[in-house]
This record gives sequence, C-alpha cells and structure tokens, in this order.
Amino acid sequence: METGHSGLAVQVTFMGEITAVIGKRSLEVSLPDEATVGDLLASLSRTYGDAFTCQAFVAPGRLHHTMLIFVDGEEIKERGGLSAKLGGGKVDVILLPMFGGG
Amino acid sequence: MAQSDLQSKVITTACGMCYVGCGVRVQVKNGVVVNIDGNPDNPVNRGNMCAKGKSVFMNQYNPNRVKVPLKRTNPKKGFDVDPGWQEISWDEAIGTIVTQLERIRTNPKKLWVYAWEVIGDSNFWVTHLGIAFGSPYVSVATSPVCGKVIHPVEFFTGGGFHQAPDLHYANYCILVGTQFGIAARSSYTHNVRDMADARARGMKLVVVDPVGGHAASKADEWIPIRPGTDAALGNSMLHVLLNELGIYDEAFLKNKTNAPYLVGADGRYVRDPKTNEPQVYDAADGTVKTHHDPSLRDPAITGSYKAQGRPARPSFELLREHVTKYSPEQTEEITTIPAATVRRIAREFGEAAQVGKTINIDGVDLPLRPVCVDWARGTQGHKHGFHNCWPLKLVNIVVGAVNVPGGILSTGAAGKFPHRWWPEGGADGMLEHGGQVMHAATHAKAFPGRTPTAPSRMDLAELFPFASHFQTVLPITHDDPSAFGLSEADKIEVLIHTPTNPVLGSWGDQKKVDSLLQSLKFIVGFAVEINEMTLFDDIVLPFPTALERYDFDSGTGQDLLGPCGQDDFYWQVRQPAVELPPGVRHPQEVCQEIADRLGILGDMYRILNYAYRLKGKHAMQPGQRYPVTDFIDRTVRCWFGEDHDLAWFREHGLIRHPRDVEEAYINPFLNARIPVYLEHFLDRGRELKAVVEREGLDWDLSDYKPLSEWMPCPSYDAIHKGDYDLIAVHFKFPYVYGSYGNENPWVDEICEHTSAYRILLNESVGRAKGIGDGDTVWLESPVYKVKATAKLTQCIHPEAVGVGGHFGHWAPGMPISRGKGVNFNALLPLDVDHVDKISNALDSCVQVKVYKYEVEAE
Repeated sequence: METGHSGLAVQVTFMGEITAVIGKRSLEVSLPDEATVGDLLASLSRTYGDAFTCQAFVAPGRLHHTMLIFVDGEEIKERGGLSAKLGGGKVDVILLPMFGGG
Repeated sequence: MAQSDLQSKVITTACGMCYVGCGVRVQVKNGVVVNIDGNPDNPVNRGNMCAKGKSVFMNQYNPNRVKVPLKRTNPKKGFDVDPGWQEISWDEAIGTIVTQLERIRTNPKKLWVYAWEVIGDSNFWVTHLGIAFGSPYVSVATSPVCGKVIHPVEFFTGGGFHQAPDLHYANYCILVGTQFGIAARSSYTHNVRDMADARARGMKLVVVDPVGGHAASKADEWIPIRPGTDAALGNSMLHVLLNELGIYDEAFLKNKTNAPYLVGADGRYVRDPKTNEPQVYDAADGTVKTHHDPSLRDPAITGSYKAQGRPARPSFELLREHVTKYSPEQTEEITTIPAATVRRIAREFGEAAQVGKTINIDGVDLPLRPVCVDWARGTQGHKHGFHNCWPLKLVNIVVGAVNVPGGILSTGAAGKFPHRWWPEGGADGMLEHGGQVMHAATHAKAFPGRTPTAPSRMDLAELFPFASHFQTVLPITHDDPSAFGLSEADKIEVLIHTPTNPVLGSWGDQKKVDSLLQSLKFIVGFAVEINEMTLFDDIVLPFPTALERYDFDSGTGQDLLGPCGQDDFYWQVRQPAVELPPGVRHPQEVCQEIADRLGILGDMYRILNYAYRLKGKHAMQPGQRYPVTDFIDRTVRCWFGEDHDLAWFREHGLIRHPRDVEEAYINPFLNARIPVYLEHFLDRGRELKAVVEREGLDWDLSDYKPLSEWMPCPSYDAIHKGDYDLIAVHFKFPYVYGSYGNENPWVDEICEHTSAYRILLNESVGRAKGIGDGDTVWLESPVYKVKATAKLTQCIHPEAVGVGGHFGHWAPGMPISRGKGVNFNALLPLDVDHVDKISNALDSCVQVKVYKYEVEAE
C-alpha cells in the first residue's frame, strides 16, 4: 500500500464479496489531499492486482454494477462517481452479492 | 397459546408457503387462526389459493415448532446424531453468536450466510448482516439448480429476473422442462388462471418433458424427451425455422439484436479501429460501419463481406450455418423425439409467430408475436446447463417473440411506480443493465461477465465469470481445497442460515454435505422446525411463521416474479394475523442486535438503506435500533408517500398501480440489442484458460463457445455404456414447495392420496424388470441407494425415473413427513465433473438402476 505521503489517511471499510480479495475488513490508505475515489481504487488495484481490478471494474473506468462505494456515508453516484473527492476520508467499498432463486 | 387481545378479526396479509406471497385474508377467532381465503384485491392471486396456502395454519400450529432459542450440548454432529438441545435465553444465544463472530472478525472470509427464507425481509436483513460483517459468501440462493441459467440469460436478453409466457396474447406455447402456469413457478396462482383462460381461447400448449406430469395433463400434446438433450431440440427447431422454412423476424434481428454484427475468422466481432465498436455491413450503401452509425439503414444479417480487408460474416449467418448440424433426423437419435414431430412443432411455432404482424394496445402499435418457448429447472440442471437452455431462448429471439405481446416476457424488468427502474444498454450496444424495483434484489449479470482470476474463494467464483451464484461447489472444495489452489486456512468456519432446508433441497451426495457441515466450527440457524439442516446447528433461533411476521417485501409476486403483461404492479406488506409466541422475535430486530453488539450496526444500515432505497429522513441512522414496525413504516412512507404509512397498509393490505404498455412490453422501447451470438464467451474463455493453466487446474473449458452445441451429461454416457439403464429426473407438485412445509398433515394427506411419495417408472420398463405397481424397489445411483415404492405409468419417458418433491425426511422433529418418499438430491454425484462451468448448476439428471427389493439384498 502507498505510504510515506503526508496527505490524506483514508479509512477504507470493505464489505461483501470484495473482502475475498482484500482478506480483511478495514485498511488505511495514504493518498494525496485531493485524491478521488478513482485514485483510491487505482491504488488498491496496484496493491491487490488483477484480483481486485477484475472484481471492481467491468472495463477501465466502469465499475461493476454490484460495486457500491460510499464516501463519508454518501453513495458516490451522488458525488460524481469515480471523480468524487475522498472528503473526510471514510470510504466504504462494497461488492454486493447477487440475489437468486431458492 | 397466549394471545393478549384474543380478538376475532380478519387480517389482510401475505401467504408464506412459497415465494410468491399471495394475498390472503386470515380469519382469527379468539386469537386463533381458523380460516384463510385468497384476497380478491391482490393482482397476483386474484383471490385464488393453492393447497399449500390453504393448509398453512397446520404449519402454524405444528406442535413441534421451535419457540425458544436452543443450544446444542452434544459436540458430535451428523445426520443421525442427537444434538442434545437445551433451551437458552435470547441473551445467551446472541452472546454466543457474537463471540463466534468476534473470533473470526479479522478474517471475515470465515463467515458464510445462507439466507433464502421463501420470501420476506429476512432475505435481505440476514444477508446484509453478513455483507456488513465482510463476508464474501452471502447467498440468497440455496439451490444449485434454481435460477442458475435463467437469471443470467434473462439479464442479457430481457433485462429482468426471470421469463414468463405472455398468456394474454400467446397462441402457441411450448413448455420445456417446466410446469409454468400449471404446477409451479412464478406468480403461480395468477398464471394458473391465465393458462386456463389461454387454453380455453385456443392457445395450443405443447409440453416437452421426460415426465408427463401435471403440465402434460393439461397440454394439447406431451412430447417425452430423453433427459439432458434439450439443446439438440432447440438447435433442431432453429434449423427448421431458419434453414428449412426461412421463418425469422428480419427487422427485429437487424435492429434489436447483434445478428448483423460482423464476425471475423477468429470468431470475434470486426471492430472499428478507432472506437472499438462492432461493425456491420449496411446493404443500403454497401459500406461497413459501426452498429450505431447514424447513417445505418439496412444492416445485413446474411451473406459474406469484406471488412477491413478480411472476410467477415454477420452473426446471424454463423448461427444459421451452425444449426444445420441439427437436422431433425440427427436430433432424433439424441432426444428420441421423432424427426417429424420436431419438424411439425417448429413449423406450427413459426407459422403461429405471424412475423410482421402488429397489434395496437392503448393506442400504441407493437409487434405481435403470439408464440413462446419457456423453460426452467428441467433444462437448467445439467452438466452443460447453460448451453442446454440457450438454443431454446434463441427460438424465441429469431422470431422476435421477446418482450412483445404474445411472446416470452421478462419479469420484474421495468417499471415507473413508485420509482423508475429500467434496463439499459452498455458495452457494444448490447443490453447490459437490468431493472430492479429494489436495489437489494441485485440482478445476475452475464454480459460482459467478470474477468476470471486465480481462485481465492472457497466457492471458486473467480472461475465462473458468468454465474449468478456460486455455492454449488462448496462441499467439493471443502473436501480438498488444495485441488483448487486453496488451503485449509481458506476454509469457512461459521455459517448463519435461515429456516429452509438445504440438506434436502440443495446440493447432492449427502456424504459430502455431511462432511461440509461437520467441518464448520459453528452454525447458527433460524428455525421453525427441527429439520435435517437444523440437526447441525450449534445455536437455533426460533423464527416467526408468515402469520406472525411483518415484512416490507412479502413475496416475489411484487418484486421480481410478478404477473406479466399489463397486470397491475402492486406492493403488499405482510402483517401478523396472530401475535408472536413469547419466545420468538422478529428477525429484523435480531439482526440489529447482533450488528449492534458487533459494532457494525451503522454499516449494516448504510447498505440496507441502499437496498431498500431509503433516503433522507427515512434512512435508518447509526446508533438507533428500530422496531420492525418502525422500519416498515418509514419504508412504505419513503416509497409511497407520507399518506401511505404502515397503518394505511395494515388497513388496506396493498397498493396497486396499473402498468402501461411500455412497462409491460419493453423491447420496442429498449435502446439496446440482445444477442444471437455470444462473442463475449470467447474472451472470458480465453482469459479463464490462461488462469487455469497458470494455476495448474484441471478445468473443462468446452462451454466457452459463442454458439451452443448439445453436449452429453455423464448420465447419457453411462446408460450408453450399459453401466446403468435409467436416468433419474426431478419434477414438482403444485402442493409441495421444496422441502419447506412438508411437515403439514394436510399436505402429507394430499401426497399420500396422489402417490406423490412414489417414484415414477415407465410401465413397460417396470413389467420387463418384474416390477409391479406399488412394489418396493431399490433405487440406486452411483452415490446413493434407497428403498422406494414404484408407481408404474405410461406418463414417463422409458429411459427416465421420476422422483418428485423434496421428501425423504429423517429428522426427529418432523414426525409426519419422516420416512416418506425419496430425497432426489441425495442421488446426485457432487463433483466438479457434474457442475456446469458457465452457470454453476449441478447436474440434476443421474444414471440409476431400479430393481425389485429383496430383503436379503439389504
């Protein structure tokens, strides 16, 4: 994980299927002050490789429809998507399971 | 029972004996349920009720119900082990659960949540507890068969959750491996009446099925088929339509599908070098251009062209050529259906499609295609389940009978009330995003699929890039994680499950199921009764019956599997007819307490607010606990306005809203194409090949092809080798839902009177084996041998054995159903070779022997 920068310490909570890649539920990520959600995901992609990238993105710049990301409790669709600023630095990254029949 | 008010009243609520959630009126006298009638105001069942629903109060007053939390005192587990239940307090039960979850907190991959509960809020609350905890193994689907193919297919061809024939306008309907509208499936009580009306007005019903069951009994024609050969039938029908009769909807294929997309010699689209968009040949000006070029007027779907200096052909041309391999004569050898029959039904279907005809509904001109092929569990449950089904869907697509009047419709795909949900196009101009009224009911997505990676999950989800659910292989990987590049450290340790019974209703080989469940260190289950799954629990939490519960979402009839066409959209809230027994709590409140004690209540609310679309003042707030009535009240107000609070729903039961033409028949209004050629299967297959080779995994990649082939199941090969002579298949009864509700004396009585507990054997086959009607026989598969009673009938394919329902209970807590019937799933081998590599479905046809029971043979 990127360290050594004096910028933003982002507290990331992982929920749902994405924890299969991360292996734990929470993580602190250091990013520049003006970093966006896209920057955070790029950082996670560098750290966790294809396993993360393939779970998160259907194509470069396009999240899977089951990826749900909140910044400071607000869904990023309400804040500009991947270009949303990380704000207070509390991010939830959630990969929802798919509903199915019984 | 204690009833504080001992009222006599009629309560309008939702049935809970299957997933439909029919509207019911429950008559209560002195605090006791005395009768249940269908609610005529509910658009799903329109006052109708089935035998399951009518008998629900026999479940309600089951003397063996679990009404207090229990803990196991016997650490030994197994199918025949007495758990040594001891009653405990809720505080001790939840304390024990929280302690176990705290133990695995740093590694949430140790938690598995298994949350199908027919239908109610617990489907979402229990799952979202697991999601918030960080578990990657959160599943609402308990069956390795149900929905495995239909959901991904429907997502990229219709944008909805499931398919259903448009019985309002269809004139010709073929059911393959399903008893839709007669004995099973979505909006059952609604579609039963629509099916009867359609038949009465002259719709021809053809049933293709190894078992001549309830659906066949209502059909104009029953066509027995050898199990697992439906792909050959589908491809053969396509061949007759496209190559022999030349019947297809050219305008639909050109403008609404990828039929004109040019494909090069490598099987991939020819793409524009600058935009990477697929290209087509415009016959109007003789040029190659992108599929969405504004100047495109006449995209060619036949012929051969040069694009970018290379030969290329439209996708449709490849499909048409591909199916020439499936002449009815060649297919007869595979399916046993006479060539003349295939040719005839294909012709009848094609002629009935009336390609080119339109209809005006409510002032809107729409294509009229009054034909459909419908399929479900019977065609899905095979080693090559996806490709066994896909050609059947294509039969609808080539005549344009998809989401138009009379054709096959997509359930729950679109709506405008109380908010808008709508499918959308995506990559390559193809349908990519489905619609969903609740975010919680996230759709499967098989286009463009996920990029495969090395497995890190015990369910091997990374190796199933198109599948919707992945739990099928868990008993296999837990048996030997190293075979899949996993380790002992990856194993799941804790399971939370809802009251259904996956031991009987899911998976296969019970030795492997037993081994999986024994390997888990801690299991907590909600329970109505002590069934076979509950026998493995460490903690049992009593679960309210449907007549005691509140649920915002009370059935699939209102969210995912509603009636099709212009039947009203509705939303119904489930409310209690009787009070909770003193020791029972609402599951929504139990989940809150567990999450609160774990310190993840706010996280769970955040996801639940999204799932239920709760916003602003209606959103649940961290730090607060909400009685179930408060949760439902804020949700209905958020959805339907402040004047529609819980009190309003308690009085009125439900809200209805008429659906307009756009909502009912979405295809003409979709700005997206649907596939006839699965180009993306090639890319995902190539990526998967690289992964399994790198990881040294033995993995069958033969299903990653853009056009479907019939590929035999292991059972087909086994009977042709002569090791076995019959194939066992499963079928459904209209009065039995899964293994849920079997402990009901009225349902049991119906089963006894209809010989439902017996296995079906073709009369001539039985006589040749010296077996008479009612004889006790051995039914033996490669993994299970069980005593059964034979029912000889002409209504089953001579190579098949029919096993209905999910019977064969042995749990001591089920004295009525114990020892009756056969558990079909136990017959099924459970290994990677029997799992569809596309859909994750377990092969549900299995080679068997049937022979007369002799005492000494035991």
